[in-house]
This record gives sequence, C-alpha cells and structure tokens, in this order.
Amino acid sequence: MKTWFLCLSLFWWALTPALAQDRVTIYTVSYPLAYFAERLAGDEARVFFPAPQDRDPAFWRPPIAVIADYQEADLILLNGAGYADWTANASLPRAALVDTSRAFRSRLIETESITHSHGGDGEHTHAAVASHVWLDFQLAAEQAEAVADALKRFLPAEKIEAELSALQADLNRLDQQVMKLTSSAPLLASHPRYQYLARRSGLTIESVEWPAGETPTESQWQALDALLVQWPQVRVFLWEAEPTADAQRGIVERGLTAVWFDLADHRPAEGDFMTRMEKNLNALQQALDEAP
Amino acid sequence: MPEFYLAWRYLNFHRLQTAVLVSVLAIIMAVPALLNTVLQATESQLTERADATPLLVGARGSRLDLAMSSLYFSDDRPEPISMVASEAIWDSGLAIAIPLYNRFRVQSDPVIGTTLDYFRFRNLSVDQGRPLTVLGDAVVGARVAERRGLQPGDTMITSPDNLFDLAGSYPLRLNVSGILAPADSADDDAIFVDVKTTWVIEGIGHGHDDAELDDSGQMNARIEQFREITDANRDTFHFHGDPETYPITGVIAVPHDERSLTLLRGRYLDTEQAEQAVVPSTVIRALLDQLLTIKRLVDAIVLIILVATLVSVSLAIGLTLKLRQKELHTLYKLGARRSLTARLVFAETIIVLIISASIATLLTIALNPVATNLATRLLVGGAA
Repeated sequence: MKTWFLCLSLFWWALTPALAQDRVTIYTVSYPLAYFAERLAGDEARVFFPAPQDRDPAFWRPPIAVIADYQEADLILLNGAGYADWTANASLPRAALVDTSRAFRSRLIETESITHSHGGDGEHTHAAVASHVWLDFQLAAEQAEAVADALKRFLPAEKIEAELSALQADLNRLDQQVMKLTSSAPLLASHPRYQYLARRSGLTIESVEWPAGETPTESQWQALDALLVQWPQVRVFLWEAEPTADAQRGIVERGLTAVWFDLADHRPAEGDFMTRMEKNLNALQQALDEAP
Repeated sequence: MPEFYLAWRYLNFHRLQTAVLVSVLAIIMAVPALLNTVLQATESQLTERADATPLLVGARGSRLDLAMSSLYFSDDRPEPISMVASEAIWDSGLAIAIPLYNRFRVQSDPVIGTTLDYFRFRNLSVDQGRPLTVLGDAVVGARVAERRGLQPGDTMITSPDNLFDLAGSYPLRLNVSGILAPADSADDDAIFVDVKTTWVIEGIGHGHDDAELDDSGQMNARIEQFREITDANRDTFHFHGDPETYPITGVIAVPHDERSLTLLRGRYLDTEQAEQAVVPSTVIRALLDQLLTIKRLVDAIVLIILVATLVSVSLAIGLTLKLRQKELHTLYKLGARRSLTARLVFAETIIVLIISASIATLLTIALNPVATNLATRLLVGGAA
C-alpha cells in the first residue's frame, strides 16, 4: 500500500509542472479583469495580477522584471481607457494583448484635459478619459465578453460561453441594482472615479481629489466646506478607500453620510468582485434611503 | 612521360609568358563560375526569406519597394500607411499582423520599428541582454553588434532624417538592451526597436521635463523635448492623437490557414484602396527572373570572350611552334619521333589548363562569400 502511495505521489509530483505549463497564463492590469478571467477559465488558467496592494494599479509602473513576466503571458488583459498607461510605453506582444474596452471606445467618458505647448510648437491638448469603466456593469459585461472571446483561442468555446452567461447574469443583476439608485441631490466623492456609475445610474457625483486612505489636510477640509456651501443639498459622501477614523469623523461632523464604495481595483480582503460590489451598492442604497 | 617533363621545363623557363596565359584563362574560367554560385546563393537567400513571409500589406505603389523594404530593410521608402491597417488585420481574425516601420537609420544600419511578435515570427532569440521592454530600448542584429562592438548597456544615436530640415525628426539616443543571436539573414544587419520608439523619433511621442501647470492651467515654463529616454523621464513620454493613425511602412500578415490567406488577399483587390497586399515570393521571383536574364547575357559575353581567348591562345601556340622550329629539330636529331611535337604541345596545354582551372577554383572559393554579400547588398540597396 505504501509503495502504491509513493508511486502515485511521485507520478503526481512529476505531472504537476506539466499540467501547470499546459494552463493558459493570463496577466491583467486590474482586479476586475482578473476576476472575469478566473470566473471564465476556472482551473484552466493561471491568472496573475501583479500590482502591489499598496499601489494604485491605474498609475503603478511595473519594474522591468514584471514587464518581462507580462511578455511571456498567453494573454494580457488591458482595461484600456488610459488605465495602467504604462502599457502604452512598454513592449508587449500584440498577439497576446486584449483591450477589453476597445469595443465601446466611443462610449468612454472624456474628463478634464491638460493644455500645454512644447517650445514653439504651439498649444495642444491631451484629452483624458475616465478609466474605471467596470463601474458601469453593462460595460463590465462587454469587458467580460472580450475576455471570453480571447479565452476561446485557448479553451473550449462551449465551456467559456456557459461561464460567460453566468457571469453576465450576475453583472446584469448588479446593473439592475444600480438602476434603482435615485437621488435628487448630488453626491460627493473623495476622488473623481465614479463617472461611469454616475452616468449609468443618473446620479450626480461631484468630487474632491483626496489621496486614498489618508486624513485630509486642513486646506482640503476647507475646500470641502466651500463645495458644501455651493451644494448645500449634498448628504452622501463616497470614500474610494477605507477612510481613517479622523477622516470619517470629519465627514460625519459635517452632517454627511459616509459610504465606502470600493472601486475594486485590488482583490478585496474578503469575498470577490461580486460580493464587494453588492456590498458597495447595498451601502449606497441604504445611505440614499436614509438621507433626508 | 618525358613529354610532360619537357613541357613543364619549357613552361617554367618561359615563366612570364606562362603566367600571362594562365591568368587570362583563370579569369575567363572563374567569372562564369563565380557568377553562377553568387546568383545561386543570392537567390536562395532572397527566396528563403520571401517564402517564409506569407503576405505583406503596404501602400499601393511599387510592390518591389514594399517587399525589399519589409523583407531586407533596404533603403526603399514605400509611402507610409497608418497603424489602422495593422489593427484591421487583427480585427479580421484572419491573420497575425506585425507592423514594420523602416524609415530611420543609425548611420547606414536600418532602425526597424516593430512589435515583439516579429521576433517570434522570425524565430529570433536574444543572445545577450534582454528583449525590448520599454520605450527607447533597441535590440541589435548580430552583425551590427560585431561591426560596432556593441554590448547590452551601450547607446547609439539615430541619424538625422535630413540635415537641412530643422522641423524634421531629431536624433534619439537608443539604449542597447540586447544582442540577437546570428540568424544568417537581413535581421543580422538591422537594429530593432519598438514601433512606439520610432514614433518618438518621428516626433509623435515626446516627454516633459518637470512639467508643471502654471496659474492658467497650462504647461509651459520648463518643457523640453527629450532626445534621450532615461529611467528619469520615461514616464513623461506620451503620444498625441489616436495611435491607429500613426505611420508604418508595412505589415507582415501571417494568416492562420490557406483559406484565411485567400480571404485576406481578397480584401485588398480594390484598386481604389490605399493599401495593397503582396505575396513576397511572387515579387522576389519576378526580380530573380530579371536577374536570370542578365545572367544569360553575361554568360553569352563570357562565352564570346572564351572563344576569342581560345583562338588567340591557339594562334599564340602556332606562332610559338614556328619560333621553336630549331629546338624541335634538335630533338628530332637526338632521336625523338615527329609525333613528339604534338605530344609536347598537348602536354603544355594540359598543364596550363590544369593550373588555370585550379587558380579559377581557388578564386571562386575565396571570392564567393564577399561576392555573395556584395551582390545581396547591391540588390537590396539597388532596388531603391
């Protein structure tokens, strides 16, 4: 019996690396895309999202060694819309690249642009677009479809299609919840990241630009107070990251209801993309319901 | 074989006369042989690369310019097309598309902008250093590296597009990130960069040094155009406009199967379209057919020269025999047969021919690599 067990263990030990090599290697630039890939491919793929937890994946610059890992991947899932713009200046194999927002480029939201000039070349403008497209769950469903199309190059289409249907059903459920959000008063957010949620839900979401997870400075509080004078009807404040106790207290003192609406750029400590978004939407719904 | 001994002694005594005769014959023999081997080698080099490239897409115009520029990185400059041509091939799902931008040089060496897919397609591996990773990186072909003594970590500066065009592209300092293993092809003589790096040379992409917004929300005060991409300024580099409108000179399309190839070619049949699709092997074979015609002409000329030379040599031998009457008469008196004269002439001719043929063979072997290289270069450069 012992011999059999030993033989079986040795066989499995020898087989494991071979099996791992056969699996599709996927690198992503954001957690939602990693989640979509994991849901769609299951155990057939090894999904990597290497951005460190303490860095914003939208602006993180991976070191050369990490870019080399991306270069070796079978699929590199990009968010597009200017998210993780290091990919625009890095050498990545086009055959592996999948821009998951390419199909809806015309529906991206343009944000404030920067005007400047180079010497005597005259002025020119950089148009910028809002990058957190997955906060519109209809767009997220299209991103999932783009991931599924790419996966079909490596995995059986039937299985991918089945998983995609389930995933899109979940995203539609979230979308239905978003469509139920209503508020006549504008909302304020700690960072301008909620453009797609606002457009889809019809909510007006204005924002300050506070660093995530930090207590605002005195001048930042003053800027908020000035905004509250401008929009006295604001009752709900969205935090993009879990606020510090002082920051939370400052918001409550101003008579606002604080909601931590996690963008899910990173893998949440508990649950996954779906549970995190459900939690976000429930908290927001409750805050809107309770707001006077 | 006393006649061979006597012939050898005679030729040895008249060294200068023999040397002239041998040289003329050796050259006459070597020229067609060298021409033949050079053409065969050139043909195999050209066709091998063309056969390995299923389809090229580029601006409508000279098919030869497109093929020579995309396959052998010649000085030809087909009209640029936009990157959308490459993306359209990707979107068709019929083929892998590999963009090429052949416009810039480091002195005489071509700087080729492409994507990592090119290296996989041509089966090129990095021998030293690392592949292209970030903007400004360059991977150098084996022969370029050897000629320039380059190592990973070295730098080189692209040549100005036009010295008198102040508004043209500025030189960019490239960082050598890797050296390719020898491939015995045009890739050995090229410098590869990411296509985005060529757009920086072009001036489409640029960086800002310590850019800050002024009170009016404009960046002005400390803006400079960089011509060196370093770790410090790399993140400030950006591009204006839609990347799909940026220029390239051609696209290598690698269809998934024969049906995809046919379907893809069908998309470029409309002559009103800005792009054309070219099967490189067809273009190169047409070029080689022209070369074959030239070779036939050269062969005919060589044949005429050979006949003229042989007539001249026969005449020279006849005259020599007249001059050697006294010497031959002495041999006759010594007891030699009358047929010895014919045998002596035969032996001398054989010895001269053997020496000439040997020298011609050595010449062909020695000059073959140089001539092949020269012929390929002339062919690639000459198509300009």
